[in-house]
Amino acid sequence: MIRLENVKRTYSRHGQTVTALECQSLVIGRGEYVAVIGPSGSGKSTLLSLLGGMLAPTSGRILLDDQSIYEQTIDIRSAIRRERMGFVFQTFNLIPYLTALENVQVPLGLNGVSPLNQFGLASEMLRRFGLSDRMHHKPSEMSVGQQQRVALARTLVNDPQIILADEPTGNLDPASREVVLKAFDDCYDEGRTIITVTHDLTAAARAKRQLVLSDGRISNESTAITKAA
Amino acid sequence: MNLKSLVWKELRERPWSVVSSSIAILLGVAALVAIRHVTVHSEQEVSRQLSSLGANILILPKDASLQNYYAADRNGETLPEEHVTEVLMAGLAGVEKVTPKLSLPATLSGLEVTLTGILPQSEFTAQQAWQTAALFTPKKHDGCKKASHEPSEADRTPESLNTSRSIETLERNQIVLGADVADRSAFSDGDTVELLGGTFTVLATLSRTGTVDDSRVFAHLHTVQELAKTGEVVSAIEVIGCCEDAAGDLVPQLRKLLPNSRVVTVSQVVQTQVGVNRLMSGTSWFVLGILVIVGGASLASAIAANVRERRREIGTLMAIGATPGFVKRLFLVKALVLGLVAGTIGCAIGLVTAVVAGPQWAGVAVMPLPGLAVMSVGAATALAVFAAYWPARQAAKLDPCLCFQEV
Repeated sequence: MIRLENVKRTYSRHGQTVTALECQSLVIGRGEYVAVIGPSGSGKSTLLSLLGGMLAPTSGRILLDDQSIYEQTIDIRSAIRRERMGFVFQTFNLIPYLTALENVQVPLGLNGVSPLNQFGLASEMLRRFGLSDRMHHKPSEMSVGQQQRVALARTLVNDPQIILADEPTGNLDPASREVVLKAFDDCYDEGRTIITVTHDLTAAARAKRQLVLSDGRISNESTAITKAA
Repeated sequence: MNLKSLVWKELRERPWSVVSSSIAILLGVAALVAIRHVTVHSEQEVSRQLSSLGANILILPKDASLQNYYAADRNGETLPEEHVTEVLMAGLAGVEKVTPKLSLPATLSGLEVTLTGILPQSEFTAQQAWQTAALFTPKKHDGCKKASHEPSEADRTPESLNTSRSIETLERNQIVLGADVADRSAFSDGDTVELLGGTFTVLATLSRTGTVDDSRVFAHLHTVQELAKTGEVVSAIEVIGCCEDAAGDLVPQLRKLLPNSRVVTVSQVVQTQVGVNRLMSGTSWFVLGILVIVGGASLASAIAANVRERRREIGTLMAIGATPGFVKRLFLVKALVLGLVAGTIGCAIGLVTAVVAGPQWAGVAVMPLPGLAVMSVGAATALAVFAAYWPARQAAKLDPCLCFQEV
């Protein structure tokens, strides 16, 4: 379970303090599928970074299973991301000089998995996303949709409990978009927690809960998607 | 996929970046290794020359050049042999041996050789005049720890021409062959040979020294004077002091005693080479400075640029669980590999350059020095890691949130 308690994140810009996000209370239960929507600059990415243990709040606490993330050392936060979280990025963020297989092996290597097991797990995950024939291709040799599937394989290869996605369908054609959303549906069915930040209202509608962010604050949840649609 | 394979794949992806970032270190190490190799061998050569000549003083004709002496002084001027007597009669403290020599060109079975007449030490003891001058109970030099000279077993063999530049006994009809002459003429011990119209028996052949002595044929001084009809003259007189200090003290006394001669110490003979060695040694330190400043700055700048262009990759790695320590090691290991490879290649280039160019630069044969090679590669690697430390630390401090932003 993820809980935000009186979390506030501010930035100092040109001598002025700007509040990027302010949240009195937010609870995301285990196995929930949550979409966060809102206009640019509303604090969506800030929320994702806070939840991912990469951006400390200016005040307040973020608890993961009752453990305050930001009271841990930076190495423990890295371990939490490595073992319990998976990130999906809008621009995929594949490492350009590695093949699809090697990109998927990176999180396994960080987790100390042996090279032989890395190969087995990574190739199995790529097979699951229909990329068996692209395993030894570099990102520049693949289509955008294929790159996002590789990124999804990399996210899921460590079997994370929580998936944090930043505009995962933002750069995709309809067919590739459907592959990603189907993968999220499968993850939801497997009991993983999914928190996705998106502008794509159709994608947001696939989530079981929608949060609307406006000026760094969370507005009414249930009516937000209906109004926006 | 682990840290090492990430570094390796990234290096393979950007070969030109690898070359440009490590070229300064490579060239620096190459120059340093080449210069140090030549310098060390040149210093060893000087040391060997000094050692082979002992604590020597040379008495040469006034206008003779030192180069002539090393070229066996075959066409130089001569000194009266009576200078030997004058030196002995003066009873100077610290004189251990006096060896007059006369060198002439000669032909041995069609082979051009340098015939060097030398007066054996036994002849000094045989002459009453020198005995009365008490040469063979030499005056001890103050501060000299060496016992007064008594010929050792080694001094009694012809090989002493190589080791102490004198010979205890040599009959008038005997010759000793230098190593090159023996090899080329195929004469060996006991053979009879014709030289300058005289007939000689080969007493011994000397072992190789790598000096001009290998091309000499040694015979009795007075036989050479008679056959060459030169009269009682010599090309040079070597005065062997009991120690270096004694040699230094003797020079002004000998100059006063023989004002029409040139009196020099061995260190003066080799001072040009010593000067070149000093220059090269200084140059090698200068190159080391350049290597540290230019190589280090160049690599630090390349790694810093690499960190900038890989910001998103660093952010991604951190987002998927890489610790700051892992990110720092990613760049330090890369620098280590660059330093090691650049150092090794630079060292190999420097070695080849030294071996090929050493004889031309300094007139010495150069052999690889493993210790110096290992030290150079180690220094290059350490420098590379040191230079990369700051940019690697900056990389480890990067904000992983940047992977959520467009860069």
